[in-house]
Order: sequence, then C-alpha cells, then structure tokens
Amino acid sequence: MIWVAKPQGKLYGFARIGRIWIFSIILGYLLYGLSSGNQERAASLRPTGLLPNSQDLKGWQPVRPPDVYTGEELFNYIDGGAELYLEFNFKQVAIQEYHNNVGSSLMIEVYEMDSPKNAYGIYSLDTRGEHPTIGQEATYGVGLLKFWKDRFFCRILSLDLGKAMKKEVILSVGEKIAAKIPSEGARPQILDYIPRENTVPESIHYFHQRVALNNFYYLSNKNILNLTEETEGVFFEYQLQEKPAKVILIKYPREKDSLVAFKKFLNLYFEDKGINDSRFTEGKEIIKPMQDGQYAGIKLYRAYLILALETKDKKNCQGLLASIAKGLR
Amino acid sequence: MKMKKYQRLSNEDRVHREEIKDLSRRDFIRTIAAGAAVLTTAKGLNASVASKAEASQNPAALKGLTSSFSAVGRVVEIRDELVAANSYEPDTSIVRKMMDRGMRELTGKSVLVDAWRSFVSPGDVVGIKVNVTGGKVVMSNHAVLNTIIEGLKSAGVKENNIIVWERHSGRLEQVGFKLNSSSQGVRVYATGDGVGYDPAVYYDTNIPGELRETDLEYGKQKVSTRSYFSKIVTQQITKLITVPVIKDASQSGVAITLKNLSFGTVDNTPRFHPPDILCDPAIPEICANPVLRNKAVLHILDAIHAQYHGGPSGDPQWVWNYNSILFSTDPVALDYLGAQIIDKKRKAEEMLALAEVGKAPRHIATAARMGLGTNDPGKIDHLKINLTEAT
Repeated sequence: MIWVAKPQGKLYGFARIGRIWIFSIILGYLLYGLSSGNQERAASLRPTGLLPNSQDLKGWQPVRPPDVYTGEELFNYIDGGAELYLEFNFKQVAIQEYHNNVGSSLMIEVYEMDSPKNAYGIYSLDTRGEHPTIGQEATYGVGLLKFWKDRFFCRILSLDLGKAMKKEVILSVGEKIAAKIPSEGARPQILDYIPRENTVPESIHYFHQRVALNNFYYLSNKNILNLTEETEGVFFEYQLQEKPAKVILIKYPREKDSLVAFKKFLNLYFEDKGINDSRFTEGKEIIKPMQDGQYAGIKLYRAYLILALETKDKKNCQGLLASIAKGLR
Repeated sequence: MKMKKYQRLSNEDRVHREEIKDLSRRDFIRTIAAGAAVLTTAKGLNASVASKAEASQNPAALKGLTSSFSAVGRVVEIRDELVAANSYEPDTSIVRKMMDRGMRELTGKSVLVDAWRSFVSPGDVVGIKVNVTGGKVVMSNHAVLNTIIEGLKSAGVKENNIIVWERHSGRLEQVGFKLNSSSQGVRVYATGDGVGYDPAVYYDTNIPGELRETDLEYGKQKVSTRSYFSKIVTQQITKLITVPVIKDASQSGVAITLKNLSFGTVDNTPRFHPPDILCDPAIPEICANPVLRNKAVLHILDAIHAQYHGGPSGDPQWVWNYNSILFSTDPVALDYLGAQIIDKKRKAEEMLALAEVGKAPRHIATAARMGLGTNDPGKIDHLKINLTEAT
C-alpha cells in the first residue's frame, strides 16, 4: 500500500499520522503547562486565600478578620478534638464569619492538610446527607456544607437554625471557594480495593490511626492493630445481609508490620494465647464466633490486614475476606 | 415512681404549665459547708497529693472564701420547648424566665435576689467559666450568661468583679464576646493567651505531655508531667460559677460540667486524651484541687442545645434542641444526668450507647468515688419543670 496526500487536501497514511503526532505533542505540552501552572498555583494557595472576598460574596461582610491556626495551635480552636485532624496531618485552618444585611450568618472554615488523600480522609469521617457537585466530593445537611478538593477541606455553616437561609446560598458559596482551587488531588489508593457492589457508599471512611477509627468503629481503647501515621486504612459497611457487615482493610508499611499487627489482634481481640508463629503464612485467616452470635474474621495478605466484623455466619465471613483479598491480588 | 409537686413559687409562675416528674430521690440534702462544698475522702485524693500540697503552699489561692448554699444530688431542670425554636441564639425573654425559676427552685428562695445571695456576697470576685469550643451551634449562650451577670449584680457583686473566662481568647471572640480586661464593666478574657497560669498551683501525674505554646513551661522544656492552674482561679476570683454545655467528646466520653471545670482551667491537657486514658482520673483529680472544689459554688448547665456525637467541636448534624437549663451545686450529678441525656438521644437515633463505642465517661464515677458529688440515681433529686406555654 502506498501512502500519499490526495489533492483534496485530505491527508492519508504517514503524512496524516505525522500531523496528528505533532498536534498531540503541542496539545500535550499545552495541557502539561496548564496543569503544572495549576499545580504551582495550588501549591502556593493558603486557606486565607480561599476565603470569599467582597466580590465573591456580595451583600455579605466579614464580622472580623479571619482567625488562623497552624499545626498544634489547632488545640486552641478545637480544645479536646484537635487530635483527629492532626492524625490526618493538618497544616492550617482559616476561619471567618460573615453577616449579611438581613441578619443571617455564615461560618466558613478552610482546612489545609498535607495531601489530597488526607483532605479526603477528614472529609470521609461523615458523609451522610445530600451530595451536591462541589469540589471533588461534597455533603450537605442541616445547614452545613462540607467538601474536599486537592488538599483542602471546607466547612460552610449557616448559623440561622430554623430560619430561611436557602440551601442554594450555602452551595453557591461552596462553589466559589472550590473554584479558587485550580487542581484536583488523588483519592487514597486503598479505596480502589473496596468492592463496587454491596458497599454502603456513605459508610466509607479513610483513616491512619485509632482516634479516627474509633470515631466511626470502636474495636478497643488499646492500639490492637498497631496503627501508626504510616498505616493507611479504610472502613466500610458491606450489605450482604440484612444488617451490613463491617470491613476494615489496613495497609502497613512493610509485610513484617502486618504480621506483627495480625498476631497482636489475635492475642488481644480474639484472646488467642496459643499463637504459633509457624502458622502464619500469607493468606492466613482466623474466623471466630463472637458473643453476640455473629462472626469476626481477620486475614493476613502481604502488607495488608483484612477484618470482617459483624458477619452473620462463618461462611459469610470467609466469603467477604476472600473477596477483599482477591481484589488485592 | 413517686410524684411530688413543689408549691414554693408565687402565683405568677403558675401561668406556665408545669410537669414535674422524675423525682427519684426525696432525701434532699442541704448543707451549709464552710470552705468545702463537698467532702472529699482522703483515699480519693491520694493520686492528687502533689496538686493538693502545692495549693496549700499558696494560701492566697484560697483566701476570701465564704460559705454558700450547697445541695449534693439536687438538680433542677427547667425546660421550655420554644426557647430556641428559630435560631441557635435562644430567646432572651424565655431564657430569663427559665433562669429565674431555676435559681429559685434550686435554692428554695421565693425572691430571686435571695437565690443569688445564696451563692455570692457583695465582696466576691466571681468567675464565670463558659464553654465555647462547640462554636455558635452548642455553647454557653449569651442570654444565659447575661442573666447570670444581672443576678450577680442584683446580689451586690460589682460589675468589674465579674470575670467571664475561657481557656483561649480567640474562641471567645469567634462566638461574639468582646474581650475586656479594663477596670470598667464585666471583664472578659482567657487564661492561655491572657492572664496565664500560676506556677505555684499545679496537678502532677506520671503522664508526660508535649508542651505547646500556651503552656506555662513551654520554652523551658519539651515535655512535662504538670498541668498548672489558671491564675484566674488561683489569684483573681473568690467564687466560681460554671456554665457548661452537654456534648459528646471523643477524648473523655462526654464534655459537660467536670470537664469544663477541670480541663478548662489547667494547661497541658492533651496528654490525657488517648483512648485508653479517656481523661480519667485526671478530670476528677483536677476538680478535687481546693482552688476549684472550694470556689465552684454553682453550675448552670446550658442544655438549650446539646450534641450527641462528633464532639467536642460543634457539628449541627449531631446537635439537637434539648431546650433545657439545669441548675445544681453538684457537678457529678449534672454530668451523670447529662451522659444519660446523650445516651437517650443516641438510642433514639439508633446509635450505640457511649459505653459501646469506647466512650464510657468513666471520670463521672471516679469523681463520685472521690466525693465530688453523687452519680447514684437513688441519691439524685432531679426536679423537672416544663415552662412551655400552650400555643
């Protein structure tokens, strides 16, 4: 076959492919430039820069200059609750209240975390409500809008309980803040291992350590899973039965860490004192009936631990552990 | 359950519909305590020997104390369903009615000013410890606070001898307080970034904490086993009234009266937050220090809004209108009832009880064992009055 340019101006064969290549390269550079520009702009953003100004919020005035808390200063703002945010590598928060001329009030908090996955993490602690399309994910309920985008987590709260502040007003403020964040960030990779079917979407919570885990599922007041700032975990409910089973999937930094945690869990949660190290091989799983008649199981897979809790019988527990482990392969 | 009607109040009060129930205990103990509002057992104080000893080395911290009304186990709860129907800010006139009635029922005084005089004298410097960590959705409300200030003034306390305070001033300003440390008007300020902590009065225990900028020893060392008391309680006030709120709290189970009184007063507290410590016994041991135990004469629990999950920071998703103000001199009884209120709400919302999610507020029982009040439902005299007007 001979590749030629036909007189009508249409390109065929190598000539056409060449042009497409050149076009693609230019487009690629443009997109890369745009993207890296966005990333640079995003990297230099600080929470105060995301607070709405008078152009963004016409008719609203800040009550006072914004308050900013950095790092452990957060204890001065959330006295008794800062640990939760610090577990997700909190960096800074800017807080500002706005009033309008009809007496309505809005409180806006913009949190900056160290990474998009941790912004997602703090957002994922409570996602029950409506889900407007704002930022990368958003939740609205009872006058409170929460969303995350890139490494930022925002809360916009109407202080007019029971009064007629329209939801649309709050959502529009959220949209304006989200628009100031030029880039998006990646969700935690561990979320990819959550089964697409039967998972209750609003039950998904990402965590590193036990303060966060205890916030949505209580296992123990001891650190029985050896959770550290290096561990990454996800909790979700799996609707295979009438009452959903609970699943915890944790990724440890190294395989030896997951093994140590596996043994600790058996010892402290299952109270299995007769542990013989030689029994523990990749894929090892232990399932036990619990006092409430339900079954709990744990499976060791490379650097991962999978826990299936509140399953109605042993078969269900086994199936759930196997299904999650299969996804990890 | 035995029912009982209280007939002490004037006819004016009868325009309100009353519902009096849950009178679980009849042996209403009324004591006029000299110095100590409640007895503290020696056994219970073993763990806080250091702080007790240090407090005794600073007698100025306890100077000027006079006796006041005290009733272990006595709790008066005043409810009005309309108090915050339309806003996080409650209706001022309804709050005033609730406050007036609550103060008179608690003390048994028919005249309001006499009720306030049961706790303070004209020469007192009165601290009002508020709680604003929950932001505007669940906080010590301005309307409640203003009524307390009016009551104190009516009892002869000079306006500038009233100090409204919190741990951090930023939080006070965020919820609408105007800081004032001048010699005019009610003083409003904070310990951590204002008055500071007293190096002579501290609570020492074997749990080291990494120091932060607002801690007294910050800059001198990295960690400390000490928590120093606010100079407001050790040097400035002679009486203390607390205005806590009802909140779930991830680090202590609940944050009500005892936590507001203790952790709101001292520095270096995050060391007590890990889930296996749950702030126990730190909360009761700090409350047992004489500078708090002897000066804290009245607790007015602002439960107009309350939070049953996700605390201590305020989250409207978990806040509900409880529409009540509770009055007591017994912080343990108030916390016991507050924890019950949270658990009842959690049950109604089909959530697990605090104890089932690792948040059993153990510090309440510890405080009772230390003699700071009672958590025995058989000894709690809980009087409920509903003022809601028929519409």
